[in-house]
Amino acid sequence: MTDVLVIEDDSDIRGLIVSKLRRLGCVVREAATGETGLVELRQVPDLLVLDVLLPGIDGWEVLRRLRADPATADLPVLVVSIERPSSTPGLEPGRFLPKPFVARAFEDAVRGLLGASFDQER
Amino acid sequence: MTNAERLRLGVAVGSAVALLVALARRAARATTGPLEHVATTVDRLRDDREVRADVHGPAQIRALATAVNRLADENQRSAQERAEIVQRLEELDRQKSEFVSTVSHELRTPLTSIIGYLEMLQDGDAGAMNDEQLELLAVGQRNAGRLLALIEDLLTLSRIESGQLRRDVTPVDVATLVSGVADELRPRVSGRNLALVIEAEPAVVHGDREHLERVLFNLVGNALKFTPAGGRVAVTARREDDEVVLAVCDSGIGIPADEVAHLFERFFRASTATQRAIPGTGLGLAITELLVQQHGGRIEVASEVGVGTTFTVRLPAPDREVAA
Repeated sequence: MTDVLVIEDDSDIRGLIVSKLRRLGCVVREAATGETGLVELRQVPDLLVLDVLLPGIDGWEVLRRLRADPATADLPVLVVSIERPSSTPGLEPGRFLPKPFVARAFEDAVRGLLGASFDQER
Repeated sequence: MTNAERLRLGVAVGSAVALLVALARRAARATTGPLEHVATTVDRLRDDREVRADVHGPAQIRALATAVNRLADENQRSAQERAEIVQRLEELDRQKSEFVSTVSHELRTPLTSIIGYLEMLQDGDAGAMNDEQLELLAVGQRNAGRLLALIEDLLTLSRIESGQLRRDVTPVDVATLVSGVADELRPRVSGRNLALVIEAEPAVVHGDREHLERVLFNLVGNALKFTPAGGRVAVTARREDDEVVLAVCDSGIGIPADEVAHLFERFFRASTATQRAIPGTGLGLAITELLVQQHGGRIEVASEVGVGTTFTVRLPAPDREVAA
């Protein structure tokens, strides 16, 4: 089973993302802040879906810290945000999806990041 | 008169004249010194608002120095006031941009949920929907889309005005640009019996690819939107002297002559569009014009109701820019 962690502070948007991931057959863990997200990341998921504008530690800082940790340095990350980043420091290997997004774009991004193994698993 | 008497008189007159000359010289020195000082002070005031004239010398010069100083005081005060006003306006402008940006963010967050959950309903994630339910849902989705377009346009406009819009200037081939935008818009043509014709010669402009795409996307998108079935939209690009000329010509509903001048005003919508209830934010052309101007270009429009409209964008060719 594909394990996905979602860090998103808006509970409705988090619910939306979680339900789409579940429909794709993923096992989903949720965090509403960067801090709790970092705790959840100790158990390394297959994919991280990350919001940027978070209370406390923001998404870019979460990304910076997880890239600095050898355990999560190569973790695929899908950044989902309102604000398109001017540059994407540490986003590789990762992708950016602007909000609002349509289901198709989200699913394509998730598939793209999880690669062939995800499709075979399905 | 004896000789001795004549001599005394001569000496007396000579002494008197000498005394008068000496007195006159002294008086002149007493006048010109302070006068020159006042003149120098006025000169120095051009570079330094804080210098003042010393008030000394004859009464008239003192009065002049005092008047100059008063004028300098007033000038300094109004310069400070002007600087404060400029500062206040700059701060207000910054606050306005920040406000628009914050509001746009705050609006897009709930819109993400609205659009996302409506889509889930439409996709049948919560069970199959009947035709009537789908129809009602489509109204909600269409309006969520309108709101999103409005927010995006407002944010873009605010960014352009505050100079915050990122610009990445590279050589851009307009033929590639035109075909890219046409490919993106072609789905809007299918099933509507519209012809989208491209005649683009390779020509390079220096500009931000994304912004130029937006200009063309807005113009071609408008042309397709305002052209009824059976019509034709032609996009041409060519080099013309020292300009690269992009033209979008449609056989659409047209714009009344007295409205053409208002087309680039924000929120203005042509009556021919509103009468037919063709949706739009009224911001697209305002954004388009600003983006064209940022590239050193200009945009022209020619239109006739019931015949069609042509928008022409003229951008400077790169070699002209170098020459200028």
